[in-house]
Amino acid sequence: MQISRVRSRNHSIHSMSKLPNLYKIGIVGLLSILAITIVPFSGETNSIDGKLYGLLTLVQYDENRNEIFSQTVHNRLVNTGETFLLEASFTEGTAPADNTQIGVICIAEGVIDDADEAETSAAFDTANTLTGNNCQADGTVDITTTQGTAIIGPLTFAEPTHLAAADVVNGIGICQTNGVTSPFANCATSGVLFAVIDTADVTINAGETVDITYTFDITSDSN
Amino acid sequence: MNQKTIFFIILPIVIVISFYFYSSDSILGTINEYFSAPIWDEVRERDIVKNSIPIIYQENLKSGDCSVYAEKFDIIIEHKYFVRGEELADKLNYDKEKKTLIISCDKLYGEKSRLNVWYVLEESPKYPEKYEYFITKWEENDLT
Repeated sequence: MQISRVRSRNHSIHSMSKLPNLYKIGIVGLLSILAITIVPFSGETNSIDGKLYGLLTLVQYDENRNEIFSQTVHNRLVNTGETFLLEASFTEGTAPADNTQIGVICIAEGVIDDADEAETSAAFDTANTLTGNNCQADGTVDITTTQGTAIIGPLTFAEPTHLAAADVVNGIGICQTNGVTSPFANCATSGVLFAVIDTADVTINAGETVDITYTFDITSDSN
Repeated sequence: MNQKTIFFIILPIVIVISFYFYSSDSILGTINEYFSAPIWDEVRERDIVKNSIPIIYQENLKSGDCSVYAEKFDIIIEHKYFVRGEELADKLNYDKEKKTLIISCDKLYGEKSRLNVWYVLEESPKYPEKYEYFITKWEENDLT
């Protein structure tokens, strides 16, 4: 009985002597948590991140003009589009006239490579299997309603004018205008490809339409 | 100052600082992002894909769920940018043949409602691959 009490007392004394070590471990643990908490996940931040982008909004309607699908999705600004922007903005000798600026939306079916910055209007047209006059120009692109944005459209695409019934629209090209407002067949007809957009696969049945709006936004934080 | 005192001084400091950095661009903030719903204002506009379709009420099922007709749901989940589309289809019990979803009846607005599906692109620095669906009252053309 006495031996048991002595053992118990010894055990308690032993536990008490370990207690400071536990606090030491706790302190180290807390400091580790603190370090993990405040260390940034990525090493760099970009204050202009998110500026200068293009978005496309596509709204599909049935034959009675009831909305059946809508999607807003980002674009891929291609190399020819970047060059166009720079040439249009700076005095290097090839500033485009107003009737050759960006203002056309071309719908497409096929493999639209939105990952390839080197995509050209010719490559876009080659990949496009639509046979109608699949491009439309916006005569007056809106850059005044909201400062910092240029808005093409909304332009309405319908069968049979722009595509055949049951055709699928799964890509959009934003192209240079050629000064005409009537629909025409190819992006390359009027010039360069500015941007491409990979949309959902939208099947346009007889009587259905799709309205497309492209917004190019360079709005700054303070606008 | 003994170790016990130091421990109880550091503890509240760590709690306060951890709370402060909980939603920041720190490791803790990133872990938090992984498990929480996206805060859409923190995601770059170009990294969000927004879809919406009409859903039509079909029938009231047991346990407060309703079956709705969603004709265009498949083109949302099949888009190549929506890497977790199948997961959403499972969550909403999507029947590809019948084009129906099962949604809580409480979320519906009468016969016709708008199903909104927003998701974040894989390459986004904030909330990559996160998605959210929500149902709003049907109004024509409210995205244009």
